[in-house]
Amino acid sequence: MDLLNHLPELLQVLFLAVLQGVTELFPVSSLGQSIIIPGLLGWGNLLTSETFLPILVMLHLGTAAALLTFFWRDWVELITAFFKTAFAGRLDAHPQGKTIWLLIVGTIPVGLAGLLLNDPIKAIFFSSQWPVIPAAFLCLNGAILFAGEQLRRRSEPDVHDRYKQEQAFKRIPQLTFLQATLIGAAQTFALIPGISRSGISMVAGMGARLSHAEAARFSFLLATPVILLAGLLEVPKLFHAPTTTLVIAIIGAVVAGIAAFLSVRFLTAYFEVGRLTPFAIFCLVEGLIAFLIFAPISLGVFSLPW
Amino acid sequence: MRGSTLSTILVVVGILCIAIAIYYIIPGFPHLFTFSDPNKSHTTHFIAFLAAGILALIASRFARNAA
Repeated sequence: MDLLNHLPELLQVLFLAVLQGVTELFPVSSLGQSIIIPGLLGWGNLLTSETFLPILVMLHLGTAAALLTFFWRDWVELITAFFKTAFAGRLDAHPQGKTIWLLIVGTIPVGLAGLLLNDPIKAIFFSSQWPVIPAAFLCLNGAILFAGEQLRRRSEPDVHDRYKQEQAFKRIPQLTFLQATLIGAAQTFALIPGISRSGISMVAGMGARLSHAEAARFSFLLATPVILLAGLLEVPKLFHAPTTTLVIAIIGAVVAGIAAFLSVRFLTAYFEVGRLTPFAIFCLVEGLIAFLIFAPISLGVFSLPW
Repeated sequence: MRGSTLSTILVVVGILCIAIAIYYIIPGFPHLFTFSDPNKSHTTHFIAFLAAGILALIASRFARNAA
């Protein structure tokens, strides 16, 4: 096995690993980015090709591992809380008892939707060579983030200190189960490439009057089992992959994990006082540029020079 | 909704989910809402519905104790 012979493939995977690790957690739609950016680079629908699937599985597992590592104390507490509340039959059997059940309730809608709708959605949105629809949905994602942030500003107390403004809002255990279900239901829209899972669940969380930081934390905690299970279910696809592909996939997973870990660390600090507006603008601008490039290409008006 | 009513509903939902899980794991006849070969057993559907069934049964205990 000589990795140097596969250097172009390795570099491509490293680039996509960083892209996946970062965009899975930033509210900019990893699925949308993983279609639009390879499209702009002339790589076509690389991520849906059969040969690339084992690598994609490992990149997702790397991201899930990073989330588990970052929130490992929370997950130890939450898993303990699950067993204590389940055996006691009471939510107050553990301080995190309500939180773990809010997460379970929030995961059910996206789990069911993923099970029943993932394949038809893939058939619709991945059928075209050019990502015109994901580009349009990325614009929509930007508009959702922008609208969510504007609505939040209206309900903020009239003080200049951002920390004090954020303290006026709820923490995760104060959510109701209906609110957790609605946040989980909002996540199902992220099956559409271009709509961000973390973005839409953060906006839904803010709609339930969570602070930015708590909405981001709930979003990341909700994402962990979804990304991990989705990755684990695809693991059998790794069994038939050649050794070189597996080695490249493992390197990609490590890089994606590091990128995801740094991203979640940045975002949890950023959302203490930061807003969704910069990500909204990014999505609107990128989505618009991609749409203006890909729409004429898909109509055959011109083609990419590379 | 009273806790005891909710508890009963959750028990019914739990048993229904476990029955659906068993339906998806038995091969040899058509399975609804599947996208690969509908006649084979569908492990993902089985795991998802089994987990949902178990969680509904646990949740029914919360509702009964809260009643």
